[in-house]
Amino acid sequence: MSRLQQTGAVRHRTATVIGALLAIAAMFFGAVGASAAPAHATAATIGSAPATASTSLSGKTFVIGTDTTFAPFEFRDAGGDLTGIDMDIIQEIAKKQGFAVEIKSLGFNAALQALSSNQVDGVIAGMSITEPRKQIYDFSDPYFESGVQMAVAKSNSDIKGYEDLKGKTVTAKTGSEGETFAKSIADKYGFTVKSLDQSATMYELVKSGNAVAVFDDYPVLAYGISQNNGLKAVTEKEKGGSYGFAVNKGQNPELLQAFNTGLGELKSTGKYQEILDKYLKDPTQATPSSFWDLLVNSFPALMKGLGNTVLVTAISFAIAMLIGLFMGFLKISTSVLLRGIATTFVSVFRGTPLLVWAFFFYFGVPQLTGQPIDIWVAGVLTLSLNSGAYITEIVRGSIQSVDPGQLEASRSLGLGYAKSMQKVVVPQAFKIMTPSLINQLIIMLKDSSLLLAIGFAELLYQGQQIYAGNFRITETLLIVAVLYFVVIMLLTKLANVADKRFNK
Amino acid sequence: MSTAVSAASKISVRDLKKSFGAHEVLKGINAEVAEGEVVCVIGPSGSGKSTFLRCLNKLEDITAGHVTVDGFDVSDPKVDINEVRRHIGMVFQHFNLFPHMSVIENIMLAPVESKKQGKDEARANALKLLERVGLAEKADSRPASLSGGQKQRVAIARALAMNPDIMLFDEATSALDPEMVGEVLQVIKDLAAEGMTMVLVTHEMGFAREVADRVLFMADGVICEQGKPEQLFGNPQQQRTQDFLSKVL
Repeated sequence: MSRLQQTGAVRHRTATVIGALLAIAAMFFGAVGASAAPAHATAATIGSAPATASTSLSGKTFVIGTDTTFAPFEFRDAGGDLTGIDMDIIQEIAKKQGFAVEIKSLGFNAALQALSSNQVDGVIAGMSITEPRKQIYDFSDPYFESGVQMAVAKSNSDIKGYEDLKGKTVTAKTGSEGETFAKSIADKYGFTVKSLDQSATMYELVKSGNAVAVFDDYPVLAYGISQNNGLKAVTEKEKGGSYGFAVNKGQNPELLQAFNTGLGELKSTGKYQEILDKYLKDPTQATPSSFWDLLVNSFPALMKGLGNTVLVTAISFAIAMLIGLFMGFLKISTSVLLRGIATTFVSVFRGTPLLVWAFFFYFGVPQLTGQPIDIWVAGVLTLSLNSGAYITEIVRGSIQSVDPGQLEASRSLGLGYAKSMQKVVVPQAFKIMTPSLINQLIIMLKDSSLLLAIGFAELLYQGQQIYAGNFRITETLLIVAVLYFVVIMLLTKLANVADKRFNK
Repeated sequence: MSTAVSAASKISVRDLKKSFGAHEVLKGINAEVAEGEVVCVIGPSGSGKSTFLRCLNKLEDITAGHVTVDGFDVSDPKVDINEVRRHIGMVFQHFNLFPHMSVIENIMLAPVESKKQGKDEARANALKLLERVGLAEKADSRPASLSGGQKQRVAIARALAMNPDIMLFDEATSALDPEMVGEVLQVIKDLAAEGMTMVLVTHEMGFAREVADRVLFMADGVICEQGKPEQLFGNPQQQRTQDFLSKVL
């Protein structure tokens, strides 16, 4: 745990909070953590040893974490594919150096968490090289010189410089250079900084008037403006930091080496400038498109997200039912011990936020065990354990609400307890619990959107990916909401038909 | 207290005590029921009649004393209570039919599940029993669509499906509308005529007088007085019995 807390403390506020939550979650598993921690240290060392010994990277695949919403460094194009300066650079270097990359679009904070927990081998996410970060990650040579710029709404003619910000609220991205810069001058000019997680939502905040200005890296702002995000830049760019590619401290040195070599080659061949120009000098000007165009373009990506949402909900709900039935029966058992187990289970998973468990399973568990965990496994564990706790109570309540005379009648006929439960009590309990179970299923379908925080590509996550590139937040969210609504309506109809059919 | 105790005793109760927490409901019951005998248990509410009946098939755990039914020691924790219960049919005040099954499924459940009867055989038996209680045409109905009297006749058929040696009735007509009491009592009378050993907790004094071989009067957790119906109803010896009968008759 010391390592986890350390990384949390030196990063930034959100990550610190996440780290603290993980620490709390890990306390539940104190025993596991204590026994697994030394094993983890060993596993990590052994894990990197063969890679260090290898001199050639050809044929190797590295998992690279990145942000979701940092256009023009990484964003989804109209076809839903990840593109941008970072993507072009890493793909180009991989091609030249003969290794393969698997890109994981996690979000900035999540990508760094994933790097700390060795879920990914490297991170390229328009990340500034800073002293605190250098304590915990190894950085490549700088590949981009950035700088912070301020922008306001296109229609705003009052704010022309920092001195016009007195008494106002501005926004900046959590953990970014923009935030650091804005805070450094906030007292001098008398404004407050409200930090958000994504560029697209920051721009919405400014357009809605809830903040008057945004501080962001100049290439990001420039790209957004070219995509009609409704803003205009009003200051010159401040001298800013450099972006670097990062690996976990002491891990994957050969990957870092290959990146530096590859970057040098790109620069000398002119390919590097070509990539920058493609996105910065002459970005494809977005032509205003209709809602229909947005719908058509975003539909394939949203359908993929919807598929993942439905699938992860279906799997999780099936497992949650098993957990709930099992724990529900423990809950009505005559044994104090069994009842205690079920009660503890319910208290823990009903009394803690879903999001904490998502972070714990995806980022915390790998650090305790030294084994990376598949995002589907983490997602299903999170949803099914949370829902299992609620279903336990539904099952218990339903069984207890069956008339006790039913069990007595069955027992008086000579049927044993188990047989009586199976044939007489549980079928009636099912009828009672069906409406609550349908409710629980619908809640789970919507709650699955929280998994976007660990980068699970469900429906809302796909929606975020889309508006991160085109800045059409309201319309995209409207489409997403309609999709949820339609699916939940169909699901409710289906469940009601099944209810009528099986619970006559 | 030694009236009409037959040598071939089907039920034998020795010093039965039952407490719910600190509250002692049965304070030492001694009783015998002979084979083929019909015994009615009467008494004011709270006297322990139903608890006594429910101890006979161990729906209530026995606090102290001995209960022997059909040769099984019910009070012995090692005895297979499910096996004992297959020999004892029970009919409840509120019928307790299984609402998620049809009438015939209600009757077939126990023979199929605990006697391992084939479904066809169980169905044929169930139909015969439904004819016997006059409800053959309701075989595929749901319990919810039946009247109270019909429900209770199905419940009796369900208990009879296990071919029991003894039948217990716990206020079987108390929840019925008055016009339906007769049809249920008729079925019970028929059973009595066939020689079924029965213990009935009842408030129907006229019926008790007509059908019982012996009547037990319970008060405050003990059997206060017992005897043949004409004797107990006509010439009660105990003050408590006289008080009770003067109120209900």
